[in-house]
Amino acid sequence: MKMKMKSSLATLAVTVALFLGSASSASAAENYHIDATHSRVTFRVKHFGVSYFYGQFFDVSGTFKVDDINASKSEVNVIIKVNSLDTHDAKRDGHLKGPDFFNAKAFPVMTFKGKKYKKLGGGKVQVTGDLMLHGVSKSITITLAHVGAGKDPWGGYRSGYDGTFTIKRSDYGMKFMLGGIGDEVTITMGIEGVRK
Amino acid sequence: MSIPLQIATYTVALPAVLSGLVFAIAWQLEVRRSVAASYAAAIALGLGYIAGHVGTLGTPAYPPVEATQWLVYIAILGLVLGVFERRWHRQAWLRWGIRGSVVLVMGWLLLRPLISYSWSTTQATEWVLGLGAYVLASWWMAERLCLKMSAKRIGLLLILWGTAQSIAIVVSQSAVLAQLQGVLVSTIGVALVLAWVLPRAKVSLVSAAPLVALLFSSHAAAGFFYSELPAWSVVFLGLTPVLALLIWRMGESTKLAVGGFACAFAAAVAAVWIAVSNAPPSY
Repeated sequence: MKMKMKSSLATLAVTVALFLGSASSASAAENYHIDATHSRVTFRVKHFGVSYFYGQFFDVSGTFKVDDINASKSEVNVIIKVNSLDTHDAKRDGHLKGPDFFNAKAFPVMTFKGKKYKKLGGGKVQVTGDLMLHGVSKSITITLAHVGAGKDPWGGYRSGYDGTFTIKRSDYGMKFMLGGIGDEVTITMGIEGVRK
Repeated sequence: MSIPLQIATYTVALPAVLSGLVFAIAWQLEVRRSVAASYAAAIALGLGYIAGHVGTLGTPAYPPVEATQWLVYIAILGLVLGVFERRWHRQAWLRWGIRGSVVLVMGWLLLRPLISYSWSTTQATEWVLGLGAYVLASWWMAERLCLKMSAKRIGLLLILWGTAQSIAIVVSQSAVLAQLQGVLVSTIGVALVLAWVLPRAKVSLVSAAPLVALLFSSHAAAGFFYSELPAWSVVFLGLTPVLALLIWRMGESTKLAVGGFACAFAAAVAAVWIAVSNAPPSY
């Protein structure tokens, strides 16, 4: 009788262990590296108060980690090369990359490093982190929406996020022509990652 | 305030008015035979530049994170050196030792982002030493000019040099640096006007030599390293006052005076032409 009870308990213990093990491995944190070809950072800013002017950065790289169980353990690190700025006008691009605006030679990269993560539901996550731009680092909060996830034709697994936030460029030391070019800049970050 | 009015106010009027005020006070001190009057140019140009810089870009960040933000501190340094250098440092070896240290630190501060992100140790050393040599040469040349020549002649040369540098920088994609150069030209313009209109005021630019050398070379360096000012433009801008000095040292005749200005003008035009040739088409 005692032997039978011991055997049943052992079986139960193994079953529970197996169940917990499978549950945790199914929801383990997933690490991604950002696919630069399918990621973009675009911005818009008011031009003389009459229209919005748009530009984008093409060289976006970095990593992110998604933890569905414990969102606080997620991570995001985005690196943007300032020299990849493109507004479809060589002279304007040169001016924007110069000392009057982004000063690309002095500050070749912009970075965003997430520190706090909060799941909002509906596929959204609120990320608070440090945005380093023009040599100045400030804490900002972005709401990222999960666009989707799935296998790609080459055997990889992809996941994408999209988020929009607004900053004041003067907060980051970019004060040139505040009268003609708006202080508020709306930035949209679209990132696609390939699971490692 | 519209942009042209902002430029007229902060780049021209504000620095000019402040400089004029300092020169006016100095004139009163000169009448009373006060030694302080001899430092008027350093204080007038320095305060005028600082006011124009703050008006154009706002209060500078501390600590500064980029080159344009260091310029106001370089102006303060130039002002202090202009007032105290000849008084405290009569020995040439001490004076040049301090100048060497100042230009090396200034070069490192101006180039720090490139040193941090882009250059190897060898490249950083070469560029800091190279910039230091350029600044020291400018300093020596500014001092020679201010000691040997009248304020009228120096003022005219500095305005020619400063205007050419401002134009070359603006077509090289930096309106900010060009405006700051314009602020400096505006303060020099006040000294020139006073020298012509009020010879009794005995305007002297000797004490402004450190400030002129440090700011002219800093603006050119920032234009070259952080904007698209071509290297040959920097060379011809540097030659502008040098050619004038070489000609004027030959004698005091009117021909030589005009010849010096002509050579300086030619070098200035060459610098601007090279910058314009290298600039992308307008947007």
